[in-house]
Amino acid sequence: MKNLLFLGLSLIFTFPTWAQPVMQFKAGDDNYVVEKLTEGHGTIWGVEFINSDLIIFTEKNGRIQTLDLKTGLARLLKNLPTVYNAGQGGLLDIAVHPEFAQNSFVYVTYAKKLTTGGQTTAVARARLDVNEGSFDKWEDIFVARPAFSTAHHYGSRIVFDKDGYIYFGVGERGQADLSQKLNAHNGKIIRLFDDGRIPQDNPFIGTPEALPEIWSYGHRNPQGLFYDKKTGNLYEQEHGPKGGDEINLVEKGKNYGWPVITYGREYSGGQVGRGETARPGMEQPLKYFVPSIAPSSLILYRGNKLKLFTDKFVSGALALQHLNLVAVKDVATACEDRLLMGLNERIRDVKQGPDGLVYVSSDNGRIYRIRAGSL
Amino acid sequence: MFILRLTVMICLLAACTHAVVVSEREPAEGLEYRSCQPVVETMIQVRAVDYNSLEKNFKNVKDNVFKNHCASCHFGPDAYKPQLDDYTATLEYVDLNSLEESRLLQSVEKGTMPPSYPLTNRSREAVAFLRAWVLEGANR
Repeated sequence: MKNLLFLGLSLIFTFPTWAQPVMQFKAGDDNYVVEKLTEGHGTIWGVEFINSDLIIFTEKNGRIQTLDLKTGLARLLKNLPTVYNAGQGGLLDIAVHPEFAQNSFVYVTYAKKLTTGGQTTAVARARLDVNEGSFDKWEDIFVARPAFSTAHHYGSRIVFDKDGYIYFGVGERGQADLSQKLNAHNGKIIRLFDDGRIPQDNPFIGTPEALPEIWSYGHRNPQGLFYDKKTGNLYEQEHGPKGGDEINLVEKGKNYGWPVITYGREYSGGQVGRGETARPGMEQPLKYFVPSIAPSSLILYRGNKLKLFTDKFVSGALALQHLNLVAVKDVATACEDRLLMGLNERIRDVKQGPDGLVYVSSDNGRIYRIRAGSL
Repeated sequence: MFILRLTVMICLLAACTHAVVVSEREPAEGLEYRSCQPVVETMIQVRAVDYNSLEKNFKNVKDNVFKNHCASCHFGPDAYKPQLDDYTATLEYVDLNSLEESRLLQSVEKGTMPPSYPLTNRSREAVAFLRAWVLEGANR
């Protein structure tokens, strides 16, 4: 009884009222608490940190808000970009420039409807006045081509590397063959300077008919992208069709095989193409998932606040509604931890916060935080 | 390999802010994977507000209804209108001549608000408390 009383009192006094514990879980000998930080929003597609006290997040419906971690209050920002919100399109990922404190730039990926017809993946940036809660003028730094009237497979996470180059994924928009064609942005990872200029050491500069923004190709719908500051590696995670979701180590100019090689099958159950899983000149994934988990985000947790997560890939799963952990070491054969299944929510984005804790967003419009310990 | 995943919920004292239920489940077909270790999840639910014990005034509506269900979009001067942490701003959405027809009540009861947020039994109690407050004249 004394223990229960203590437990009850700690529930009342230990946490700010706005950070609401919703789950505890125990993995091995370690205990963790999942706290709900905000709710009642649309699908929260992208989450990023402006600083240790302020989150900025996108909703697929086109809104961008900040979440003050000291008060728990969200603030709707002004002067938002115009996006095409239909199907899988809308306002997608968000990233804060590594030198945000000096230049105030925020980047988003979004579905853009073109006056010439169809819609496509675009990247825009604007300066954010945090005090005013308002953006200045949005400027497209990249618009993928060609555009299609389909409503799916836009990609697209944004990361910066240590040199300030920006990388993001463009989905193949349901046009699988374009993933292998270098004259289309679809099914590619793109690398640019932070203002949209094209680096002259990109791999297909000078290749006839190839688009110079391309960094790697043969991707399907990349919705996880992570730059590992510890190793300098760029990791990507993409949706396969029926099975065949992949984690890839993305390297300059390489071909990741879709739709020629894949561990997935068509939604009908038939084989994709010739049913090949390997071919010379095409990269094997570090890991593939059969059946699909439908991964929507990826980090490699390098913190030490959450022992269970350290040196593991952490990805949000949409279809199988969980947070997926798999060790980076021997990843192809490593076991998995599947967490947060009790939430029954599609996990959309995952970030490691400046505090070393893990933050996840869901399609149900919530942001959660995972910390070690118990109630 | 099927991994038994236990979702255990512990009942706490009535005085606590959280109350819980116990359930146990197995993963559905197709969730086969090689698990590193058993994971035991414990769901925690906030203890329902006892609306019957609350006086029907703006502070109680703000602290128990708006704060739990509306604050993320409607608190603060830059929020979507109405600014629900401000009594005067909230009153602009209450029709004192026809309380039942107030926009504040209509938008909630017709399901327009909150968006993407289906009402649960708990939030229905909040709506009932909001209704009672409005119909009594939306007092400060």
